[in-house]
Amino acid sequence: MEKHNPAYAIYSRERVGIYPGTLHQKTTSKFLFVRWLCLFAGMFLWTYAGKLIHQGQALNEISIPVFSCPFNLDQVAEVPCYYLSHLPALFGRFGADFPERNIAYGVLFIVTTLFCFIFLGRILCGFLCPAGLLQDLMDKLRQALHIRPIVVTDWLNRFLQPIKWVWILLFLGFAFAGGDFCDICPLKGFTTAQGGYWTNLYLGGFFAVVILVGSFFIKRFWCIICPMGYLMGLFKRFNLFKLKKDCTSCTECGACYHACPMRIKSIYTERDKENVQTVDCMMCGECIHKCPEDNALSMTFCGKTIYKSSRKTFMSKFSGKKE
Amino acid sequence: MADQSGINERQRELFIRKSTRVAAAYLKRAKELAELPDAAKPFFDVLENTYVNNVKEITGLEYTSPSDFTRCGAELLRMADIQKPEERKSIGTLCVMVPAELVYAAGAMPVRLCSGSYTAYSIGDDYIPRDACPLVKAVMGFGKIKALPAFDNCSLLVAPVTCDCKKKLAGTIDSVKDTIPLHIPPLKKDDADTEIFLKELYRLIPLLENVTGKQVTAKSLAEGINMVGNAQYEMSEFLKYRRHDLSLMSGTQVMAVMNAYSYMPANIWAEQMHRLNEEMKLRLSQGRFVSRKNQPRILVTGSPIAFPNIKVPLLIEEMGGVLAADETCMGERGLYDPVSVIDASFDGMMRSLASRYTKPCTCPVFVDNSQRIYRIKQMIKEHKIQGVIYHVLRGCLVYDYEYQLMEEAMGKMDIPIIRVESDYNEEDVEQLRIRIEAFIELIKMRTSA
Repeated sequence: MEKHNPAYAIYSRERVGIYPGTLHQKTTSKFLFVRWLCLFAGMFLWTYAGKLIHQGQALNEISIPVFSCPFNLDQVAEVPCYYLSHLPALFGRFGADFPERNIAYGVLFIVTTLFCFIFLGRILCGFLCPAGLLQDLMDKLRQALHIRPIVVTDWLNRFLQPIKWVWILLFLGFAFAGGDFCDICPLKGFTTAQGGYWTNLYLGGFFAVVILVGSFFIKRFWCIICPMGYLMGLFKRFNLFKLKKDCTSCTECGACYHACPMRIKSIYTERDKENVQTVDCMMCGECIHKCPEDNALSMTFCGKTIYKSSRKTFMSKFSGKKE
Repeated sequence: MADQSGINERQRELFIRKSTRVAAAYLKRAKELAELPDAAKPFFDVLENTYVNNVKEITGLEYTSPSDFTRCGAELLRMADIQKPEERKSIGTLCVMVPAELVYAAGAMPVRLCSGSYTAYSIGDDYIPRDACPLVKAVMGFGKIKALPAFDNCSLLVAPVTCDCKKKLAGTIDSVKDTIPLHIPPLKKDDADTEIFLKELYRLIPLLENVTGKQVTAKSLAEGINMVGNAQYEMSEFLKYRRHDLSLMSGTQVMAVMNAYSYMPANIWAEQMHRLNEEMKLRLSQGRFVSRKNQPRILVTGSPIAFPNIKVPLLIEEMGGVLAADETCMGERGLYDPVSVIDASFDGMMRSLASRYTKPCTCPVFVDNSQRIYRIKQMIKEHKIQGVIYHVLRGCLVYDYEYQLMEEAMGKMDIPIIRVESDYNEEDVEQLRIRIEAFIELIKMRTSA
């Protein structure tokens, strides 16, 4: 067995554990700092903020698509996942289930959902989703322990894609077959538990453990197979935020591909198109942060560049102190 | 005293006299080309140490030991403020695909052995088929004659299996030097290919450790990455000055500086490079340029241009061109792409290395190498290039293959390109001179028209 051969370095030289971090790979990025702030704010808003504003759901005419469980009643705004996974219940929202609410209540819900889906898209996954924060924290924990990750290679990605399709099918269709997506939803446990609510997890509890362990080894594991994220990504063409690539400055070093939690390959193989945003892209900015070429990757908002890659920033971490 | 290779003492003496003379002559020509920056002189000293001084010393068969002192010389160490130079073993490497970071992490120093020695070429000619490339012959020649300390001091040779000539060299040079062939996947876009190279790097680790007796740990690997990264940082700073409309330093001298990186430790190189950058800054503020406004700006690409075979860049600059940029593996290419560590675990660093040494590499041994054309387009834009000289060493098929594609791409951009073929001797100099002169005149006419 290779594994027991001391000369086979892949097993014998692995240093698991904490050692003094000497790698000069830290660069400050305002963009990523803002993203972390937003993630924490998102977690706070969808877990606790309702308590401060109003007992019960605060602004639940408005819906913003992030993956946070509506069983937590302290959400600051409604999350459409319940209605998307229970499409028949959506009609009830127009007054049938809640006689005291008027039709505007339902209309506003649909308008805000569509607005977020079409114009904001998956940037919400990268910036607000509480489930995203949870996974990012698990990833940070793994990095702090210097445990090697499971790298999502082509092969693993091909294996994960069908799982995503199964989730989408269940997400949209389970209610019609008489099931309840919430019973298998892996994220039911997280924000609900954080907010101090008790609920039955059913099979979701099992999946929750899978997702928690998975996201420790694979960055944003759930996002790769998230059904609602995919539905949001479908409207990428109309998004106000866009990911652009200047193909003449790209050297195809693949750093963006390795940094991408969603393992979008086309971002480094693309050689013609300017717009490299795909259905999976959630605008986390990791690719831009790790890109060593000037302006090769940039993010725009309404056509205005808000964040771009820079060789100077990238190389500056190596300028460091002379030992 | 004849060894197994059948080379006797007299032959060796003759060889040393001739090769040191040629190397010294080329160094002199490169120095006289334009006003050499003071900070660039130590780099020339390193080349002189490697090819002239150290070689002269071994005529008494007293080999210089591999240490930073013999590599860099006392002057450079004094400037870098190093009291006790490190005793590092040398690991010979060929091509740009051997991760220097890994060698430094194992406590050794990588020495790029791709050489341009005409004298060694003529020795190697006896052992290698006629149509093989001269660079491989020169490496083999040094292996047989045992008169280049930089080569002989290497405890191990890591030879990437790249082009056909290097592949066979890796097999045959094993008789004179312990050699590890490093498999390079001919395709690089699939994750499976990077995975193959990653396995190769993992295989390399214990072999390096056996030589140095030190362990590659996550800490030492991180230090290696920082060290080479610092050299890359200084070079990227230097490139900013090189992009200036008027040259601050002769292009041939820049190539010599880049070439010196092959023979000296990355930290000392980076430190000296820092001084050179400061001098460039000073020159820029004083307006001391080495080129005039109407001189054609030329890019050299193609087969490796290794010292002392620097006749093509020398001719370009002696004929009135400005060597504004080079896309060759002994020049900018080896240091341009930085390692982007995504994950700080040991495996994460190794993955970043595997990815950095294959994916952005524009060596034509890869099946699909269209990115080299993109890279040259990018350089033309950045350095305001007016003409491209495509250098092909005789027998270098992979580069010759790509000339057609390059010509098409340059035609679309309306950039004149010329293919010059050369060999490791001085017989074709006059012919090259005429062609390069005509090409430079052509660009001058185009710009004035």
